[in-house]
This record gives sequence, C-alpha cells and structure tokens, in this order.
Amino acid sequence: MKDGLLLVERLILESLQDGKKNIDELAYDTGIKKSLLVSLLSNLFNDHIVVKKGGSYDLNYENKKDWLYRVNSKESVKGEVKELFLSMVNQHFEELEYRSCGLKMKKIYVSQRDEKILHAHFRNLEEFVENLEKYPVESNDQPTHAKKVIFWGQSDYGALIENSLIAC
Amino acid sequence: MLHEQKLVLEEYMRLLGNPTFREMAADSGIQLTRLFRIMNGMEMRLKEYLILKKRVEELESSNDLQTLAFKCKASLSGRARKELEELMKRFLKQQQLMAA
Repeated sequence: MKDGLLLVERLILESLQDGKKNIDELAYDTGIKKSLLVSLLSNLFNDHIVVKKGGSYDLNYENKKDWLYRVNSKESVKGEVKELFLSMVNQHFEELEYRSCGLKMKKIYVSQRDEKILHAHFRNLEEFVENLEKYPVESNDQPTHAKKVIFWGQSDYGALIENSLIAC
Repeated sequence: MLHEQKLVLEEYMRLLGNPTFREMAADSGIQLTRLFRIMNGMEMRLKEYLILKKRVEELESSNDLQTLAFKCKASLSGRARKELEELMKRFLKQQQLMAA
C-alpha cells in the first residue's frame, strides 16, 4: 500500500472488523455497490490487508503488523479526515431541501470565562459520544454505513490563518 | 546568449516546473540536442525564441488543469505541493477503482 486508505476502503475494514463477511453481507453493511466492492477488495487483497477464506472476506490478522501501522499512520488518518470533512462541507452546501447533515461554524469573540464554559460543553459532548460508543443501544442490526459522523473542535482564527499561509 | 533569450528560457523552465530536456523537447517541439546546446549558452534561432516566447504566454494565460499543475509545481512550497499531490492521488485512486 503506497498511499493511505480511501474512505470507502476504511469503511470496508471497519465492516470486517466486526467479523468476516461474504460479498452480499459486505454490500449490505457498507452500502457500497457490489461492482465497486469487488474492485476495492481486489486492491485491499493485493495490499495484503484483506484475505479471502472460502466465500468470505476477512482482515489479514496473520500479517497485521505489515499493514496496520501504515493504515493507522498519522498521514493516512489525516488524509481520510480531510476527505471526510471535505465531503461533509460539499454535502452541506449541495443538499438544500433535505439535509442529512448539519454543519455549523462560527467566528466569535470568547472571554476567558466563556472559554471555560465552552470547554466544559465540549467535554460533555465528548463524554456523551464516548458513552454512545461504549454502550451502543441499537447497533446490533444496524449496518456500518448507518453510523453518524460527528466532528467537533475549535481553534484560534489567527492560528488557522497562519497555518493556511504556511501551507503556501 | 542574449539577455532576452535567457529571460524567456528561464521563464519557460519556471512555468514548466524545471522540466527535463525530454519534457521541454516534447512540450516545445524543439529538438533535444538543440535545447541542450541552448542551455549551454548557444544562441537561439529566431524560430526557437518565438516558440518558447509563445509557450510562455500560453502557460501564463492558461488555467487548465495541466497548466495549473505546472504553475503549482513551479510556484508553491513543498508543503503545499505535497497537499495537492495527496489530494490528487486520492481522487485518482478512487477513480481507478471505480473504473476497474
């Protein structure tokens, strides 16, 4: 694997993490069309990340050391997060009638006192989301692609601008 | 080499992102051996000067993807180029897998 995973590849790995699956089960769980799945699985197979056992696909646990660090490397994850966020931004601006996603952004002045309150809210959100992950209520029959993707965070405006200028 | 010739050559190479001799020959249509001699100080023929001047004008005015890529390669920092490369690789990989 020369480069990082695509989002669709990561989705397949997440699906297989729950257990080996045949092509139909993978198609249901990921929501990816079978024709594209075949192509993606072939690529993952060539990268020795996925193996085929009988009629099912599974993660290559035997040679996990060969691919896991690459798949979870900082650069690989960074690329995926960028792709995910770009997709979310595009979706937000494209889907006007039916919004399946909500993206909010504000540039505001925050006093020291309000910053503490803001951080407390972020911590509450983080704990809430972590609890949902640890103790999922209705996840058993839900396909992987039905998960929600939640972003949160904040930064200084100046720092973001500075970072964007360094990039050029 | 005359100053104007040197300028146009430098600008041409900058816009193409410091190309190899083969790339310049392919792009300009000027023979590789002639380019090598020109780069080593030989005077350009009028036709060669006009070709390179025209290519410089085309590259500067054009906004298509290929030209943009040349300009980015020539002008952007290493970090910016890497960001673009990563993005392009991802799009390309996705397209290749979808087309397979």
